[in-house]
Amino acid sequence: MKRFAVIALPLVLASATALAAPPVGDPDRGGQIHRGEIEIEGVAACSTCHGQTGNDTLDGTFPKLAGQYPEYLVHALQSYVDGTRDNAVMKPIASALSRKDMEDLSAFYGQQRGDLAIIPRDR
Amino acid sequence: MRLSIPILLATTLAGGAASAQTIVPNVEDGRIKAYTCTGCHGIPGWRNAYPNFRVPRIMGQHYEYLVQALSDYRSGARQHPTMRAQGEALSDQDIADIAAFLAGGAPTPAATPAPVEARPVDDAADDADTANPPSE
Ligand code: HEC
Ligand code: HEC
Repeated sequence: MKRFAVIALPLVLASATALAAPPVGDPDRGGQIHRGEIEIEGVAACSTCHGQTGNDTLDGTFPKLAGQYPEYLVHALQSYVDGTRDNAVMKPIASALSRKDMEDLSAFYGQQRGDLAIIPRDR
Repeated sequence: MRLSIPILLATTLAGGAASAQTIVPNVEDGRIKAYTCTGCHGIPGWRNAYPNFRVPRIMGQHYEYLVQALSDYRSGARQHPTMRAQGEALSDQDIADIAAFLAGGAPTPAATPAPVEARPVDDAADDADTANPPSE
């Protein structure tokens, strides 16, 4: 828990400026969980459905995660756990993850290149 | 599901996706309808106030997933209050148009292979579980 204070400070600074926050999690460990190299008890590797890169998903019903904001992904995973987001597939998966797993995975996805972008304003 | 197999097969052959029969997504309409969305989804790093996180990137996401997500806000399967307020007013047509714009085009009956599961239109919108049929 000593690391927490170190993590919290950059977060506060980042939210004040709304600039890119430094990744909170460990993207290398996140990638290993994603690909199933680190196993989560009773859970298929994330890459099975979300694709090897997080962009090349199995089909259009599985969201692209590559390039998504890490803090949104942590929030999304927690929403499955606390039930504010109802999905039968992701609830047991998210519930098997620790907070650190969520942060590491999200840091990994945030670093991946993909199609996701903000909506262009000069449309 | 009461539809008989011959009917399902016929709709699958005729329409590709079951929803394609009644709703034809229009990318240009979607571009216009998505204008209000840019207030949050079109600003780099725009933040949700509480809990504090950046509003997700949705441009370039899959069409099918976007339709599901917007339907889930409308039905309450996804409870985020701000997005529920955005999603509540959307018709099936609005959702299809906006999703097609964001995804850079919708799967068209001609161009897309039929989905594995043909499902009736009105069920698909209301029932969050239909997107992920449990494998028996
Ligand atoms: C069996 C297939 C499957 C596996 C395995 C899987 N997912 Fe998912 N995931 C889905 C589906 C389907 C959805 C969309 C659910 C919905 O509509 O809410 C989803 C949604 C998500 C979302 C929400 C994305 C968004 O834009 O809101 C996140 C985050 C996520 N998954 C992360 C993971 C992680 C991390 C793992 C591995 C620990 C994982 N998933 C494993 C099928 C899967
Ligand atoms: C006031 C700010 C705001 C506006 C305006 C807004 N959104 Fe959102 N949107 C959010 C927030 C915050 C979330 C994350 C909600 C959650 O956790 O489920 C979100 C999530 C989403 C998602 C889910 C993304 C995913 O990966 O699962 C979609 C799709 C979406 N919005 C589409 C739209 C569309 C379409 C419009 C315009 C009709 C719109 N939004 C307008 C704030 C906004």
